Amino acid sequence: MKRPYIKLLGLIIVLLTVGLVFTSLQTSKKYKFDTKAIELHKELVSSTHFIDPQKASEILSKQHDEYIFVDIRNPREFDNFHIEGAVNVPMQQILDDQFISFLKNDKTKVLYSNESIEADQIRLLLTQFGYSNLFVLQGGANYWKENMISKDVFKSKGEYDDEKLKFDISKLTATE
Amino acid sequence: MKARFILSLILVSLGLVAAILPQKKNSSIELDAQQLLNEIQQENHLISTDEMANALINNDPEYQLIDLRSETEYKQYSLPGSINIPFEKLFDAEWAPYIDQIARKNVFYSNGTTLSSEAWMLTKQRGFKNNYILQGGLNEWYTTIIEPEVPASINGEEAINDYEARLGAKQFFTGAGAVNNASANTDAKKPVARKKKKMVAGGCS
Repeated sequence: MKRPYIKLLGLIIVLLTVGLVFTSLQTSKKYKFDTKAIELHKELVSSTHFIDPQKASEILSKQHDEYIFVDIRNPREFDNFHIEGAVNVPMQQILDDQFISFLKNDKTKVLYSNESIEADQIRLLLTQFGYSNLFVLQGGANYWKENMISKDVFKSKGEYDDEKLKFDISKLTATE
Repeated sequence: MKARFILSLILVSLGLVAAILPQKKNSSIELDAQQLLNEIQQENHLISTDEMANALINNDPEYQLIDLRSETEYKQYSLPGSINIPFEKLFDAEWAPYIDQIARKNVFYSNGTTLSSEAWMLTKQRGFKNNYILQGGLNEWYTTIIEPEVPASINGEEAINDYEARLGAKQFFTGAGAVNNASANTDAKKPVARKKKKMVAGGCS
């Protein structure tokens, strides 16, 4: 009477093991995805992935070969204005096969869009999917056009931080 | 014989536990890179300062503002009704009921848009729904709601209507000019109907 009971248990164990292996194989990708967001969050908190215009102009003037500027705006905007030596990879096409080897090469890429929000999101997206060595230009093309025009002429110091408050905080609550 | 039975029982319970665990991990929906890229480009996750001001004026319970700045900055000034979840604490267990929920629209904001868009990307990657970004952050809040720019007349009627709505909003949020300009009160309610359609666009994300 005890024997068939144990056989049944054995069968359940085998089935569970098979099921477990099967489901863990299926879900391992999703699990990784989840942890990656948390790792990315820690990375964002502990280090910066921004390059301010000042630093970018230094890079340009010293002609550092290890850096490359990547303009993720559309070709029309790129033709209209772009940073010297920048390569145009429109964000719509950033995941296309033709750019994989470019994104994977050793050079440090400095992404920029009109402001910094899109470049920042694209950087996160690419980091999430395994690319490294990516930075974002603070202020983007708009700030550059307004203030940095050529690498020798600065209207401002080039210290731009998107998260800096641009006005006096007390004005927000001003009454009378 | 008895030992074998106990052993099997342990194995079965272990198996059961193990089988249930990974399923909890992926309760959220995974996006692939292309989907995420599409979402970034569609910009349905951006909520304009006008839309937000409007929601606050109308006391719209659908929106939950989340201030991602430091506690010090939050205490100094914050938008009405907002809660403070400093960016570095975004995934702390205590905030999970806020950022992973389906009842309300969370609107992340910071001084600019860096923290808010990063928070959006991360929560999106984890499959959380209903998170949005206040476009332009507090800097844009200031230039559009608190000190709105006077439109040039060539901008047409719509720009002027926008401006009037913003003046109403300004009065609502700062209390400026409340005494001498009673008619501005009605202006504050103006944008209600007009802005609604934008919100619908952001519904399914």
